[in-house]
Amino acid sequence: MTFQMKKLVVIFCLLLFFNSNINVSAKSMDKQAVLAVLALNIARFTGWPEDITSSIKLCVIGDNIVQESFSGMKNQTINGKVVKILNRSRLRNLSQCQLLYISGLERNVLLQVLFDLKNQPVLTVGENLGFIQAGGMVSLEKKDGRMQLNINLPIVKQSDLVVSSRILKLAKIFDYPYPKK
Amino acid sequence: MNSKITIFKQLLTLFFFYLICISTASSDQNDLLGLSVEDLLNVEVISVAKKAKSLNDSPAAIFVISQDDIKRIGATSIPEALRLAPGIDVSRIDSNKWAVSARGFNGRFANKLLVLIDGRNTYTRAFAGVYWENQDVMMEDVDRIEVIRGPGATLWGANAVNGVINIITKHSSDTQGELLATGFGTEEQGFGALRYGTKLTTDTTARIYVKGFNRDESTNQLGGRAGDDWNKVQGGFRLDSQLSLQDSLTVQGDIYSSDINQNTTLPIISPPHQKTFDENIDSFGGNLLMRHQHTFSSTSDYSLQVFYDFYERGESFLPESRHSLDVDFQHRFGLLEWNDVVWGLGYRYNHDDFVSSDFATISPLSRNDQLFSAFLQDEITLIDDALWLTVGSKFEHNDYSGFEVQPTARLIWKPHQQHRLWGGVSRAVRTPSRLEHTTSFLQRVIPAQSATKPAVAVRLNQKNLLNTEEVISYELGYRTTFIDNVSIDFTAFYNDYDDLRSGDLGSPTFMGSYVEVPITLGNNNSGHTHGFEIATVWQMLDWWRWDANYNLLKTVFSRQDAVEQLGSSPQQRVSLRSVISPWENIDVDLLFRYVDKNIAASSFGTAFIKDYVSLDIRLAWRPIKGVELSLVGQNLLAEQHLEYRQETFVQDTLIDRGVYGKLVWEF
Repeated sequence: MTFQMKKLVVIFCLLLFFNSNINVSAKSMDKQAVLAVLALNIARFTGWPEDITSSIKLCVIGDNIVQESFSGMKNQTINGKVVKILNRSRLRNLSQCQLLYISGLERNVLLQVLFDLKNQPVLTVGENLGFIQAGGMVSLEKKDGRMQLNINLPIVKQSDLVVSSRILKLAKIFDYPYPKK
Repeated sequence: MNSKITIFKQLLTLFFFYLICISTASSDQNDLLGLSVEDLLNVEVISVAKKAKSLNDSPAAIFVISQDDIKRIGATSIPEALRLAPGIDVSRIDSNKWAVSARGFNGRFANKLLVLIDGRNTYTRAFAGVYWENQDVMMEDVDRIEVIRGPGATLWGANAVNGVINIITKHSSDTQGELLATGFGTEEQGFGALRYGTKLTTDTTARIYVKGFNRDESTNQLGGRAGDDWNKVQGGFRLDSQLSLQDSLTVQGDIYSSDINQNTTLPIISPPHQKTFDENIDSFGGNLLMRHQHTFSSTSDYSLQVFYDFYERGESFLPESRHSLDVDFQHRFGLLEWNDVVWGLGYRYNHDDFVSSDFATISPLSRNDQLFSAFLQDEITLIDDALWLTVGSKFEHNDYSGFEVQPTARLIWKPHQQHRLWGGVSRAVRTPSRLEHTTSFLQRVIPAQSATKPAVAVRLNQKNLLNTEEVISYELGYRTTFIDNVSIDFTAFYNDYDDLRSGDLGSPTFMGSYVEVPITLGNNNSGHTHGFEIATVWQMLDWWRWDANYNLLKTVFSRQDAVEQLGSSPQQRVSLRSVISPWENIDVDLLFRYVDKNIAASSFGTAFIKDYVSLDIRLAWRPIKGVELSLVGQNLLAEQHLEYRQETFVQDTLIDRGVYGKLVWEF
């Protein structure tokens, strides 16, 4: 490599350094990755009415990006139990899940999915306020560059799920009833 | 000189090295797993652009044009937006006409592409295609355009031979508030659109809009004015209501009126054998659509859609008005663990009125026709979350060709989260149009060569009913996001056509001062097309994306004179798009296109259209929330260029370079 070339490399490396700071600060993370880890952590602080004998089923409805964000969590454990990640985009056997993460459903299908899970011990997690208005339990929304946790408490209680006070303290609590049939 | 080249080479190497360096930088989810909920809620999050990561799960060559794409190339019409899709041949004929097709057979009267706007079929039985100048939407309210290359007949029915385009507008709950879009420029001489969206009750939202534009004329072959300027006013509404938890209702409609100028050239018997005149065409129409959706369970729902559509055109060649009523029912349900079934019934009623002119007659002048259809399709999960088979068929009966069957079988395999492999075999038909049946018009007049060789008039005198044109299509596709921040979508196809339309000359008759040769349409041509399409997306930096598309198309016909009759679409098309957002309130967009030479068949003879390159640039600035100012340059590389020659009526028209400025204000 000639001297000139080396000089150019240095300039480019400097450029590279500045470049990575143009739009994004070093601390910021991909929203979808944060969503998936948050969903897992909320499951850590949730109690289900019946003892879970085998693994904890974390079910995911969404496109390939959403599925991929959860795939990194398959060897995690919650209270000694292995987390199993299941793709449930075909909307089958949803009541067998302990946690159901929902994204990208048409509104009419979403309303129906949440209605079918009424009073069942499945913690439903979605991505906006409309989700808990439609009968969902937990929504994770981007507000001012950070994630905000919203919980629709009556629906959680109706399903005999217990979300730890540690989580409730961090959340904005809502009181939406199930939409009428 | 040599050292300059060396430095250039070194710089180039460094540039690529640099690109590779920065593109591999990504966030690691493992770091996140160590964080507490409190920390996670404090992490600053960014929504990384998804385009370079998303993989479509459908076993078909599908490409989605988003609202953001439409906005960022500054598209002012649906055909202009379609230029973003790989394998779609969009050629602008003049200011007010487009030729749009997929996988060959393009033309103003292209008849192998089906276009739907919010579920409303825009196909006209008149020539079995789409009048693009009649189809418009408020561009700001489009949610996305789904472009499917290849047959879609099993779901959408006849005429979805080489592709289906689904234009989907936003739900009215997503267009709340006021939006004003306005601007002017050299070609886009003035345009404006105003939308108002509101919540009527807790469960009902609605919007109304009105838009209008004035587009400049293009340039004719001699460098003069082409006389093709036009203007249009359109208004419409959409209302969405959640009637109950399980029932939703959508009602929407549009009405438009346009003033289209055209420099028409028509053949006449007496010298100089053609007549050219300026005409002003009044074209207006509208539609009203209602869709009710009922959900039974998570895996079962039905929809019932009814629409009425009408249009009227005052073209001097053959004035026409048409009314269509369409009823469509679809039911989707899960059967056992591994079947997702969808079936449906459809009915369409058409009423048309033509007025005979000096140039053309059609018999009968008015006609009613009907179409009955049914379809059944099953998506079978062969291996959970890995392998699916889709089989189905459409069955339909139309008044022109009778009973038609259009089956498909498609397989998609997901060997890994980041790979999709699919293949399909389908049959589709193109049913005959009204103008291909009992029409008579002078197609062209060849001037007298000498005293002994009088003028020859070629007259289409169609009495027989045509058969349907048929295709058997074989497709193979592969998609991957295996390389970080890069997505690749590849499709190869082989289309085998039979019973393609042909024109056959009959025996000449001496008419006193000229010779008349009848031409009859038949189904005496066949052929095949093959090729491939690649669409790639590269998110080079968080704020800089590249989209590159390429397609290759080879066409082979059985008849020697087929190209004279059908033309030949460009063999290659390349598009390269750079999407830059250096700051949150600034957009810089470039779209470069290369289109190979092509051959257009027309009544003026065969036109060899040269290959061309074009460049569009858009700069946008959002000084405050809700306000965007943009400057768009279109077709910047040449003062004007020819993209296509229409089959009849209009002589070659060159598309001009254009610049316009635009303001969008949401309040």
